[in-house]
Amino acid sequence: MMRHLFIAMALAMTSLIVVAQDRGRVITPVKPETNVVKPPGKGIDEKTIQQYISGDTVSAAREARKDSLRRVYTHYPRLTGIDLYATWLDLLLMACGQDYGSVGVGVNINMWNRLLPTAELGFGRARSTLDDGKGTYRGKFSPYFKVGAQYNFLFKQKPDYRLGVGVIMGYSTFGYDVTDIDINDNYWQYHETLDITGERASALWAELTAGIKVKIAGHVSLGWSAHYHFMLHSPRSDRGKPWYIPGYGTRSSNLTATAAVYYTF
Amino acid sequence: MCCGCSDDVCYDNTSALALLRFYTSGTTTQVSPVATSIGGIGVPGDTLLLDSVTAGDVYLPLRPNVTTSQFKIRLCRIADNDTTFVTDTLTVGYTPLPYFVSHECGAMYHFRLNDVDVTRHLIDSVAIAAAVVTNVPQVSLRIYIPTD
Repeated sequence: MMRHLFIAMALAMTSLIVVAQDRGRVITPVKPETNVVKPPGKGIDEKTIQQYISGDTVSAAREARKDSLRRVYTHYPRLTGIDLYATWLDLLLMACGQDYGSVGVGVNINMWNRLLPTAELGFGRARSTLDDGKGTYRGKFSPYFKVGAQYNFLFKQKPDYRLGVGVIMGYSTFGYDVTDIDINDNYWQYHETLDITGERASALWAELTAGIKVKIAGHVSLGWSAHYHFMLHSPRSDRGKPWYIPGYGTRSSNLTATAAVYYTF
Repeated sequence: MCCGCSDDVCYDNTSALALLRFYTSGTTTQVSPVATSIGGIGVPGDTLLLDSVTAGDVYLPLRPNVTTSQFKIRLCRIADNDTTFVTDTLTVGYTPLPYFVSHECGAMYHFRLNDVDVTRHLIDSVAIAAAVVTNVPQVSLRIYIPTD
């Protein structure tokens, strides 16, 4: 009798525990439509459709997204365009009184609207009275060359607008004179006017650039850029260091700006 | 748009002077002889660079239009409580080199020292410490004098 009573009590307690556990559990009902695989949309390529059919819906969705991006962002050809440009900012500054300047012409090759190899040829000159007023620096009309590449961050946009950074190497070989140097020795009471003429030097430098280009009308655009440059090979001779380097600017300055007008083919 | 910022100040020396330093003979110990007078020979008015002062370093201006400059150096010798002044003549031979320093500092002469000589009344010897005199301060000439 007691045995049957214990069995009955055990069964009753077990049923209570099961009921208590069932109340703590939350079961999310499964909606029938979530188990339905959506068919691929129109325009999806065959590979993606096959992935859908084979049940690999994750890869299929990834491919479908890539395919939609391809349709949203235009993919430009390898040769998107060619820009011819001429720099003009130094001309303006020289007209306003700057003692030195350079002008150059160059070409950009727009590849995929992302990468723009650049080459530039220009000339520069300087004529300036030294700060102490005791001499004149004359940088002869001399050439410079630049080659490099820029990366366009607006590659998804139309080529009419460009925002990019680049790396450029520059080289110049040039001549300069320093004339009418006033030498005055107070102790020996000696005075002399001295000329340092026929000096030649060459310089090699690197530039980090950042710039923008905006279409103005038709094939014509304007661009502005800032250049941080530093010497890789400094010009020097037994008779001093040049003050001005064509294409670089004054030797003591690391930062310059340029502006250019572009014609795009 | 037509203006710019530039630092047009010259922070360097605007002349190249030969720095002379005194040492005790046979050592690298620097000394500062008392009551020292130094002046160029042939300078207008016989102007002295130093006149009876204690001198450790002396800057000597070299004449840019010639290749030799001479200086008289008067040193005080104290022996047995007896003070006497002894004058030696320093002769410096050099090649003037026109040098453009910068737009801010202008141009000047540097000097390549070729030879140096001294009368040995009191001074033991003289030596060239740096072959080229520039506007950067560095010892160009070492003069050795006896310890007493």
